[in-house]
Order: sequence, then C-alpha cells, then structure tokens
Amino acid sequence: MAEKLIEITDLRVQFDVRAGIVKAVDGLDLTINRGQTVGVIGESGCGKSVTARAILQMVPKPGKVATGSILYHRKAKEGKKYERDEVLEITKLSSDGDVIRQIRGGEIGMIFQEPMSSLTPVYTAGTHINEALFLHRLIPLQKVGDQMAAEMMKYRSMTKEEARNEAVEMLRRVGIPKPVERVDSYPHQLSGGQRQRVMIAIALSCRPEMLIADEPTTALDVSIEAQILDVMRDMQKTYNMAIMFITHNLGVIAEMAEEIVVMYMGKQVERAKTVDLFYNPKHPYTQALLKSIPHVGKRTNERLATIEGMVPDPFHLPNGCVFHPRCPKFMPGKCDKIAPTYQSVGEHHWASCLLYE
Amino acid sequence: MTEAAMATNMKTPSADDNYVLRVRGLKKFFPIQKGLLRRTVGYVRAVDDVSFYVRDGETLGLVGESGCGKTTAGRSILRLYEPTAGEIMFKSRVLSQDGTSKTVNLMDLKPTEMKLVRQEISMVFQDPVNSLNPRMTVGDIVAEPMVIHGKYGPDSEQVIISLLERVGLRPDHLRRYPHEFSGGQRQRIGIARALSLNPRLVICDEPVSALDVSIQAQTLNLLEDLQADLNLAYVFVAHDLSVVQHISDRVAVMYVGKVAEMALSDELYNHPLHPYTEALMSSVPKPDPKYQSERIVMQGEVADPSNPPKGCYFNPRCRYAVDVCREKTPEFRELRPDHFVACHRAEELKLRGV
Repeated sequence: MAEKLIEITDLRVQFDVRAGIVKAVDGLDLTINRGQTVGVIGESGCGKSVTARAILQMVPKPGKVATGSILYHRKAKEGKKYERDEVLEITKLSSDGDVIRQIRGGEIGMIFQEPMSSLTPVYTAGTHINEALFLHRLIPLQKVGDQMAAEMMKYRSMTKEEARNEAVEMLRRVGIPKPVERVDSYPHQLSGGQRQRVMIAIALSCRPEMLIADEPTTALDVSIEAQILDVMRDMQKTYNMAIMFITHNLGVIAEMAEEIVVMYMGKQVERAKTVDLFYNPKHPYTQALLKSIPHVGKRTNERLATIEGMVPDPFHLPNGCVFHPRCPKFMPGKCDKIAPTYQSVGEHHWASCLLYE
Repeated sequence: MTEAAMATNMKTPSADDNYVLRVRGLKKFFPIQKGLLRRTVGYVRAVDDVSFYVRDGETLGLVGESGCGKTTAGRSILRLYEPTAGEIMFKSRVLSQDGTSKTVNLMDLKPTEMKLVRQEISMVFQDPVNSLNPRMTVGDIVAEPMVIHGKYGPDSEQVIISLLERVGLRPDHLRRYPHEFSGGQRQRIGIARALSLNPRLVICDEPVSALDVSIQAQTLNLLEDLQADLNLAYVFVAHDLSVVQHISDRVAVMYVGKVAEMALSDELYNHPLHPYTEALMSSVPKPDPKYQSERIVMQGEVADPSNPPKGCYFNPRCRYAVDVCREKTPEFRELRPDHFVACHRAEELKLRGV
C-alpha cells in the first residue's frame, strides 16, 4: 500500500565557511510515502529547512550536499511532461537543469515561512499563480486520427484565459473571499493570512506529488492557522499529496503529521509515529521538548521543565552525543565519548541514544 | 482573609484599592490622512474604549489576533503613543514625597513627571534583535536607563553585573555586543534592561514569540522568578494562548480594539462567556495527537478597525449573533465576580472551554 515517493539515505549537507565547516545536516535517513504527512521538528538551526531545500536541490551557497542520496520516485501522470515511471537521484541533478526545474514547483511544491517576503510586491496574486501554471501545467490535446501529430504534440500549455480561471478557482479553494476580485490584488492589499493562502494556492496549483511546508503558519494567528491547516488537509485528500511539514510548534504537528522526525544539530535523534512519539518518547531530547511546552487548558502552578543550556556552537560540536551537555540522563564516560548510532527501539520507532545500546 | 471579606472583595474588584494600574475608557485613534493637504478622512480605532486593571504583583495577559490593538494598548499605558482619551491610574512611588504610593492619572502628568514615572513602568519588546542597539555593549544597554534618569553612579557597574547574573548571563558578557548572543540571551538582556531601575510594572510585548520552545520555557520561568522575588506586576501581551494561560493570573481577550472578556485565567479558559473567546480557544492546536478537536471555524476576516461593523464588532463572524448584536454595542460588564464580558447573550449562552 505504502508507495515510496522520496527516499533520503545518509544525507549530509555542509557549509564550508571561513570559520570552519558547519554540518547543517549530518546523516539523515527518511522515507516519505505517497499521501503521507511527515513532520520534522526541532529548534532553529537544527537543519530542518536545509533538508527541505536539499530535496529541491537548492541548498544556498556555500552549502553543498557532501554525501548521501535523495531518490525521487517519479510516476507518469496525465498532464506532466514525462511519460514513464523512473527513479531520479536528485543530488546528481544539475541545480539549474531542465529536470530539476520540472520537479521544483511542478512535482514538489514548497511553502515558505515568511508570507510577507516570499511574494513579489510588483505582481498580483493572479500573476504569481499564472507563472507556476504556465511553467508546469499542460493541457492534453486530443486529436483523433492524426497519430503522428498527436504523438508530437500531446500537450499544450495553458492559455492566459485558462490560467486566470484556474487561478480564481485555486484562490476559491484555499478560502479567499471574493476570489474574482482578489486575483488582481497586489500582496500589500492582502492580509498575512491571505498572503499565506496565496502561497499555498501557488504551490498547489500544479498538483504536486509532494508539498514541503516550511513553518507555514508560524507567523499567523491561531484562527487563521486553523483555517490554513484545514485547507492543507483538504487538498491533501483531494490530490493524494504527500506533505513534509516543518515546524517547531508541537501542537500543530500533533494535529497534522502521521509520522514525526525530531532533529537536533543536524542529526536525526528520533523518528516514530505521532502517537508513539507524544506518548512514549524515547530520546531525552524529545522528552525534554515535550515537557517544556505549556499545555492549554491544564494550568498548573508548576514551573515549565527546561532544557538546560543552549544549542552548541556549530563549529565546536561536543564529542560523543551532541546532546550530552544538555541531557538530563547524561552518563559520564559514555555519552561524552561514544557517538550513538541511530537504531530501532521499537516497532516503527527509531532513536539515537546510548541508553538503548 | 475570611470568606465574607473575600466575597465583598471580589464583587467590587475595580473599586478595591489593590491595583497598581487601572485603565478606564482608553482610546487611541490613528488618523487616516489623504490627499495633498493631508486632510483627515477617518480614524483607525486601534484601541477603542478599553478598561482593565492590574493588581500588585500579578500578571495580566492581553491576548487577541494581530491587529486587535493589544500592542497599542500596552504602549499607550506608557504614553509612547499619546492616547486619544481615557484614564490611566497608576500608583506611583516616585511622585510622592514620603515613599508611599500616590495614585496619579498618567494622562494628566507633565512630561517631566511622566519621565519620572517611566522609571517605574518599563517595557520588554518583542524582537530581541531590533530592540537592542548593535553598537552598544551589553553593559551600556543595561546601564542606559540609569544614565537617562541620572541614577548612574560608581556602584552601578556592580548593580548591572548582579542584574546580568540574575537573568542568567555571565559578568564577562558585559563588554560584548548584542550580535554575539543568541535570541534567548538577547531577550535576557532586554529583560535586564527593563529591570535596571526597579520597576513596579513591566509591560512585556510578546517577549517569547520569537524564541524556540526550550528557550521560551527558560524565559517564562525567569519572568516568573523575577516576579516572585521583586514583586513585579506584568502586563503580558501575547498571541500564544497556552503561554498566556501559563503565566497569567488574569487574562483579557481583545477583539478589534475592545476587550471582549476579562477573567481569572482558569475561569476564562474553562468557562468562557464570550463567543469569540470560545472560538479562539477551540482553534489552539493541542500538543496531543489523540485529542479530537471540534474546531469552531470563524467565518470571514477580522473587522476593519477603520470601518467597524455596527453593533457588536464580532457579530459578522459570530455564530450566535441575533438582531440586537447587529444594532447595539454590548456593554462591558461584570457578570460573575471578577469575570467581565461584553456580549448581549452572555447569560443565556452555554459555551465550552478548552
């Protein structure tokens, strides 16, 4: 049943800067199936966003994918430029080649964190959506008889009028009121929540196989956040789309994801089904993270549990387990010497901690 | 306190004398100017008849969606924005000669007196990156309020060092610059600066919104410890409802420039009386995958504060709205002891909490 879409094995992304090498992603293994929502959580600087960018082969300079592979299982579908099933190795693709440009936006859509700065202020909402549609959406041409010609031009791109209608339809789907008027609005005429919905409309207009949502609701109010999450779930059902949901909000992730990956300093520390992760977290970092959030509705006068200290300097990572200086279950002589391996700790549950070795 | 005494106290909370700050009918309208002559064509009613009070040593949470006027309300208290109308009663120690509290209306104060009062009311800002001058060292930043108020003396450096230690920074951080610190540490610098003149009331404008989960917990704990040690009162402006519930004794919910509801925090979260509070509570994502939420989706957008709807501002989005809601502005009244609400139908509605 579960059909693989993205397979990441031992991904390492490094930034070679003057002060040294920063290992932004350090040995990540992750599989995302079709139609599945995978959550990625962790604090700032843990490599969540870099992982997302690596999937689209757009790691910002001077970063580069050092080792590892990202396999993309492409499936032929009506309305796309390719015709057969194939497995593509994304890290080997040229970062400005034709293939990756088809994938970006067309097959894997992305929503960025800042709805304020990811739209161009000089273009209307409709123009933004049309740009994606002209690049990626094809209309099948049906010509009966002339087989030669049909073979040669099976598809044509959208006309302006079709694209406009489609843009209005997309805006309506993501719940923007009066879409016929709003399609001609410039970003500054839209509220924050509306801009983020325009972003979602752009990303979904090409019916991607997967959507990467990088903190899509962080800048928004709870009421708008709730609407955006509903839109995303709805679209996921309609198009059987996979979602990689990156956030640091544990409430949002509990609602959205089926499976969660916890990252710390570029390393994957734990991966489990959502319910297991919330009810039976194995790694001390995950446990501490879950304890440190206030729960709405259950007010106690207790202090919040904190994780002592700070995220370490990426140039001077501690030896052994990177979490050991902050870990409440630190075992002297062990955690500061031996680096833990990432291994199974239960059914569909992995963690990298020496407690389980 | 006996039960009887408590009951009378609770019945007249705004009349009891225990408050540090009492705001009544606060308004702040920003003019909309158009054309070559910058003629005023209308007003954005950012804060529109807001009343609340903060007791000594307690935390009042101010929540609401963006643009509801919570930040403007916070800043108007300090007259960083000059309020259009209203009364801001504050118990000041510096303005009385004998060291006891003297109740003053901040709106009536002369600039020189207002400057004195600003020693007692300080502010922690949202953005720890932009609220610290990048060209000043941490020591200078924390010392600046003392210098401005002429309180910087030979012992002050020692005071600053102890302040830095109090907020969890090291004395050797004194000569460093803000860019050398992480977001959480910068927010600690901002807190140290706010405390440098021994304030009575601290207005915290979204102090933890920009921080990571684990750092957020550390900062919240620090604020609570400081409150217990220094008997500070906080006005805690935030949009994260779970954080506000955790830190606040009482919470006021704002909607388009007005306070919709104000109550003790448990009471507000568990037994809301205003439909807006109910809807807001239901949309908070719960960090529990087994929790099945029945979310109340509010239709439409937040009302435009320059052109608010007639009657109750929430009526176009309210699922309980009846004719009277579209006609008359509801009065902000005390329905239960210490529980204020502005809703026509508050008595009859059975709303659910979180």
